[in-house]
Amino acid sequence: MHYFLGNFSLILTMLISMAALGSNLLKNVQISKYSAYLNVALILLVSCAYLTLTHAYLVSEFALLNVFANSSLNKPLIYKFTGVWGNHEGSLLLFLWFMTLILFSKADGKDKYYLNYAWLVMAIFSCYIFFTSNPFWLNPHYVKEGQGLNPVLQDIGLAIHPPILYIAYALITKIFCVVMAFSYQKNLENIAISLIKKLSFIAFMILSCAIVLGSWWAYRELGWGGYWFWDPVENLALLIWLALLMLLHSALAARYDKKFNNWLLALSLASFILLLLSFFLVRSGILLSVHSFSEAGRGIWLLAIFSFFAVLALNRYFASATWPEQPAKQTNLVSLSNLLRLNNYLVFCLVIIVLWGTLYPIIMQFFTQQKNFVTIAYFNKLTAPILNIMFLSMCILPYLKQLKNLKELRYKLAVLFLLYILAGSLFGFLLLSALLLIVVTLYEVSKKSAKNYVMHLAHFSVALFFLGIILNQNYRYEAEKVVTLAEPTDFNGFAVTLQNLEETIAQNYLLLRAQIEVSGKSGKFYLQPERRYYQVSEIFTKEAVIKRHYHSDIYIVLGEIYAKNKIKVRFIYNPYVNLLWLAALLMFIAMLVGLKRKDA
Amino acid sequence: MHPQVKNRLKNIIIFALSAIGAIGLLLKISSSNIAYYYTPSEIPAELKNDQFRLGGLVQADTLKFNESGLIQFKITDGSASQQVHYYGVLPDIFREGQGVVAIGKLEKNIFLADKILAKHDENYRPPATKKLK
Repeated sequence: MHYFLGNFSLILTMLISMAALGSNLLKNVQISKYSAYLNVALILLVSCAYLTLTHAYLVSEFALLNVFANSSLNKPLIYKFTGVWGNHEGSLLLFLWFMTLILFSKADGKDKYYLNYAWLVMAIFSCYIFFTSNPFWLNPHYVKEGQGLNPVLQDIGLAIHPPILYIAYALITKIFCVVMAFSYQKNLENIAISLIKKLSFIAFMILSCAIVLGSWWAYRELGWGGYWFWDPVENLALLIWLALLMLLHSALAARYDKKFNNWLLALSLASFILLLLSFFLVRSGILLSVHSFSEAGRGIWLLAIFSFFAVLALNRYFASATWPEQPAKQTNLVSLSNLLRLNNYLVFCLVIIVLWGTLYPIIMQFFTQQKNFVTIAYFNKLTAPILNIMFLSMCILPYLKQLKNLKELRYKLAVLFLLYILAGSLFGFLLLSALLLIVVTLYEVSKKSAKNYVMHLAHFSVALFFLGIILNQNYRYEAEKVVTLAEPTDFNGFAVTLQNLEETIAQNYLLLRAQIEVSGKSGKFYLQPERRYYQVSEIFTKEAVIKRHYHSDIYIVLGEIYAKNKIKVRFIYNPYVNLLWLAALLMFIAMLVGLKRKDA
Repeated sequence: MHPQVKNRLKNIIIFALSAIGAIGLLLKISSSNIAYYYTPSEIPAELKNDQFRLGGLVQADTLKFNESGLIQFKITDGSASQQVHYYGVLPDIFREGQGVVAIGKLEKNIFLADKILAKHDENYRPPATKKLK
């Protein structure tokens, strides 16, 4: 039943989107009259396909290969829902679903060009899913039990991180279609700019959420004790985020400076192209990543999709970008437009650095036949100076008028210069710039007549975020030692004592739980880290426990047992990590307010 | 020369020079911050950089736990094997016969691992080792 219903919906989705696109292109069939009905049909069909797959998971229909490979009978109910997107096929179907909802929910059927691109994207993605990654393929064997979901994915992190990511990606697809449609008009109109601004605001906000949630998941569940690893898959999401960051600022600038229209056009298209590039790189298995999500053979089709849209977008860009005849005379070097331009150039540098660090290993491997990777030092060395300039340029934002005559400011500038000399190291520079930005933005936000408080609040949260990272990276402590029952072991000033070890049986796993006492300067507390053993998939997982203080996290993971009373413990002291989550929350609030206000 | 053409030429030259400089810097930093991935039979006699990643399968019957916290095992790629020492906590998916990636350096023919990696892919196994099987 699932097999037929699912495939039936997918085939109809393919046919309808292709037929609608074809007839619109041929122009002699008047199907555009019915486009509103067609779009409703598309929404219903893709929803039907997705809900069918979800139902198959809920009733454990192992006749479907996808369910068999990623589910089992005794999996908790919530993970039967969320496990649908815990694999390549299901996650793509989820993406297609969100895409359909977002592309067609407010389909103003009048715009022929918009619908053309929306149908084109739909047709290509539904074909890709149906022919290469069909979640409704039948299992050739009769089985009574599935292989189970990777236990690392059995977590609330998996439940929320991917859907949010895909909503952001669907919004980027919408921005692409909107901009492609508008590019047929000679000039980007104000309506277009404010629509792009709104969409990029929402997409940026949601993608930020998704990335932060992903790193929160890694930090909390995956037992790595960190939040960012410069892993290729993380980098690719970051690239899209950076493109959106530029797009957002260009959309703000384009409202009064028409020269930003080209940026707007290029960046809207580039975010979608980067999205397709990341789909290709992540899901083709080319990358040496810990988050691999891949199977050989499908990659070539994703490469084809990426190339097709890249050519299409480049073609449209050069057909519709408008070049001013003569650059207007610059009256003032330090102006808001120029600062925004500088921001774009700097973020573009970041994009090149991250993209190069991600692609360089692949290129090197092609020439040397030797697998390799770029170390974290590469990213840190190159991004830190650029971040520093960005912080400073955000700092001068409120003082644009005063900056016109530098003479009045010379004492302040001299003091600042002296401070930088005293800071003396890259760490010091960054710390100083971040602190400076915090002071400046806080002062601006606290002003009663603050006009741009949304902007300053957003910049404040950026500074706070990086302050957290800088401090955390410098004062972090991590060690792994064997601890003995009832004997305190020293971890950099914290005495860790194992008090008890017990084994029990839980719903679908065996459980080993330790009672650990940690005593430091700020007092004593107790933690119960666990190890679990899942019988179906024969796999261990470690449940990290975190003791949260407002200033630092103590993070403990259980390792292997050495004797009845000896177990290895990984201990991580993670100071100031809460600043990251707080800053992300503040940014979210700032974006929400900004979305409400028209002038933000 | 027309002043506008001159101005444009100047801009192009400045742009080209800074682009060349930036690309040069990027290439230099990326090539000096690269680390390699070897399987045991690929480890070269002369190592360019100290740290590298060692990938392969955990050889059966070689895993030993020492009470001091030292973990010893061998990584094999079928044709050669390499002794590994590790003091940390093993990843969840680690076991004999399974694929593993170790980060560390070689000292006196023993690979001292700082980190052992496991990939959280949907099939529980790093793709690099699938080819070996």
